[in-house]
Amino acid sequence: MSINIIYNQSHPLALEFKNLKGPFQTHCLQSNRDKDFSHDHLHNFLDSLSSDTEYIFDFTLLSDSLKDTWLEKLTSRYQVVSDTTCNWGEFLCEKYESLTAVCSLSFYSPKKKVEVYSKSTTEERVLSDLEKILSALELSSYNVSSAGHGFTYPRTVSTLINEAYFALEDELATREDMDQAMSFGVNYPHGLFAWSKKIGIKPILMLLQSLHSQTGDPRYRSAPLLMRESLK
Amino acid sequence: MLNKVSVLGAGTMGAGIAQWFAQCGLQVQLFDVQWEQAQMAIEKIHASWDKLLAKGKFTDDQVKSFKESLQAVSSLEDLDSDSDLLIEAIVENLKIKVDIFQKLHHHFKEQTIFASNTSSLPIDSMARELDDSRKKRFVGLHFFNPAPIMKLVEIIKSHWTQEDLSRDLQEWFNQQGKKPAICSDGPGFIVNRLARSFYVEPQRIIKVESTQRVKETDAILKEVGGFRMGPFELMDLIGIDVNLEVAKSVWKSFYYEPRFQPHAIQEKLVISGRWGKKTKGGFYEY
Repeated sequence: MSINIIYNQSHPLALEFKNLKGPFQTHCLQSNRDKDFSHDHLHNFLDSLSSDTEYIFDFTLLSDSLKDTWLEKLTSRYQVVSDTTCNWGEFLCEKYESLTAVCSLSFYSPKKKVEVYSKSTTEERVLSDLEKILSALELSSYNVSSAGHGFTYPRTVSTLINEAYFALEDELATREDMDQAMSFGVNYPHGLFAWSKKIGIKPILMLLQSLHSQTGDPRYRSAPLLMRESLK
Repeated sequence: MLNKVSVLGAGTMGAGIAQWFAQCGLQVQLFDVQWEQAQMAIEKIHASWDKLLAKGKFTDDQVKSFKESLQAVSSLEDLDSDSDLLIEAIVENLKIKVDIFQKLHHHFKEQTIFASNTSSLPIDSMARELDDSRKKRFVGLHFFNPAPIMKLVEIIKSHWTQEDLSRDLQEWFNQQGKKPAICSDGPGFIVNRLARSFYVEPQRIIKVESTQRVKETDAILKEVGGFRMGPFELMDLIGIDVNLEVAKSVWKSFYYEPRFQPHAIQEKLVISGRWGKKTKGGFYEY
């Protein structure tokens, strides 16, 4: 039986998903722009699935409102495992009973591990298929007790990177000097600018914007330079 | 560029800095207001070199040479006026630091670089009190503990620091195997500013003090994030009280910018006297 994956071009692993072979049935939502997601996209995809499909893997990188709408439709028909790295996963898991597990696939991990939260009711075969996908991507899962909001590693590193961009705007030091300081002063696996390149600016910005909008806390305000760099 | 160095303060940082400069082949004088402290520091440094000799890290000749090049002095007048660098690692008190720099201004040659190893005081607040000629040759040189091992040295420029001085120092430290980073004078400099979120955000994630959540968060940040230590075990090691003081200082210096706001969990631990490993209890029990 094939393992059904749906993703969009915005996802940092879009190319890797495209190249998945074997039991994986991948479907890319063609548009690069979140706003273009429509009922047609979803229904075309759903219609292409075989009638015995019970669960699908949703690896779309979407803003909060679109993700919510998207999951509402998907979970009405299937069990879903979703990438909620840049969303409030804990809330979505409570809202949608059929959202059976969530993961932090959008953020590069220096240890090649992905945070995975699954409900106690999640079927073993679903988690086994998730492991197959991660393994094909040369990743492995790290089980966590809560999806939180942006999980733990993505949320923490995003705020660190955001501060580095604020500091760059303040002309505190060059990117190279700041990266050297964090690598050799506190032994971070990467300097924060090198790290942001590995993750990609877009997911970092999406997570910060989600945290800012859901909590209203100004500590999550994105550095203007980070926003400008996301346009490049 | 540097051949002779005078180090003020024989505590952990001063002794470590003196040890490292001696290992670089420089003539080093170490001064402390308490003569016994300076002597004790020399003994500890010698013991450290003996251990490193036994481990095969240095040769007999190297250790002999290091020991000959490091000397404790009992008065400021005994410091070599021909030193290329005077660096202080004394108590974090602006007035005491400024007083000693002013006192030593005429003792040293005009070319001597004056430097502070402060981690919390603005470099400009010291530089402004110095003679104009010295202002240009005044910098922050922030070493990290343990100074002989940690590669980073933050070179902090004051408003008046000559541009080529910071670059020359950067090149010299690079040649000695350090990893220097030049920065402007700002609260926390680079590391203590950029790393603040590593301590605060995980507290926001766990929301309330919980051993299970503390353990899990540390594990995730090591196992998924690749950090060498988790934030909670690191705060326990640093001292939760010391870490909170730095957090408050940076927050205040940024006019209470929310990005730097400390968390109530940390304050609660400090109030209850659970300051980490040194009190046998903090986020973890020891």
